Amino acid sequence: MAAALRLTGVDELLAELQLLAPDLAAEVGPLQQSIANETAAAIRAAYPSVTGTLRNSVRVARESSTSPARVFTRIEVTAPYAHFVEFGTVTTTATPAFVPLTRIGRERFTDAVIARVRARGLVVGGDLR
Amino acid sequence: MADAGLVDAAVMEVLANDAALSTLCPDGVYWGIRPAASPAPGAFVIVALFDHREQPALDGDTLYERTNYLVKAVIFATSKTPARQAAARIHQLLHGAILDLTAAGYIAMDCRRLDRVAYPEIDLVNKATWHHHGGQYEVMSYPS
Repeated sequence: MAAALRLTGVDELLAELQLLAPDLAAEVGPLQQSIANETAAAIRAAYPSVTGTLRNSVRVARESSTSPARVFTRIEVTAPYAHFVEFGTVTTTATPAFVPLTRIGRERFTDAVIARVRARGLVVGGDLR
Repeated sequence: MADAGLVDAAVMEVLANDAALSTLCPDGVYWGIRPAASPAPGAFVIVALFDHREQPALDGDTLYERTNYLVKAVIFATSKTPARQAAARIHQLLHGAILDLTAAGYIAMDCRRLDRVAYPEIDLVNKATWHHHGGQYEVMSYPS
């Protein structure tokens, strides 16, 4: 027998949260895009460059969302050998760039959103990382 | 005195001292890259520093540190099975382990796998395959 887990009220909760700071969602979209662009630039700078293909393959794409309270941005590296650079080969060391820099970007975005929520007089608690 | 470099050594020691992993990867455990003088082909383990962050406390102290290691078996083989088996052994040794970091001046809090790593690499010389299998493991610790 297949198991199923159904969560009800998630959309309602998001709607309630959005009402706490109604202008926040519109503000964080461009903020996320800006931090993603800076993160992509940092990744490009961290990568080695021989032909420039790897650096040129770092892209930022805004993802669509059905909810106004959610924003998504994707950073992708499309060069087919990107994982060899990131994780290394038999004869080359790993060059950690995408993993640590996207982690830093996510944390910067979280911190920036928290700061904006607090600026509206709301309290943010707990470990959000 | 806390020495983060000795935390790196403690992770390598856990892997190097395991008989089962040594059987699967008899050519040793290396930091970053296998020395060029090593015989090829081979089966070995690579440990590399991947990411690190510190949670600051008051007075310039460090509350805790999170260090992300890339740990992977690299095995020259026609099948990925030996590398997968070695990665499974690495996971047994590290995931959920409380490492002894006494010599490093740290106390371990946790060790968890954050993500898996698995990819083949075609050897440019003989067109055979090296299989890389392992993961990113995060060690949480604080200076004692």
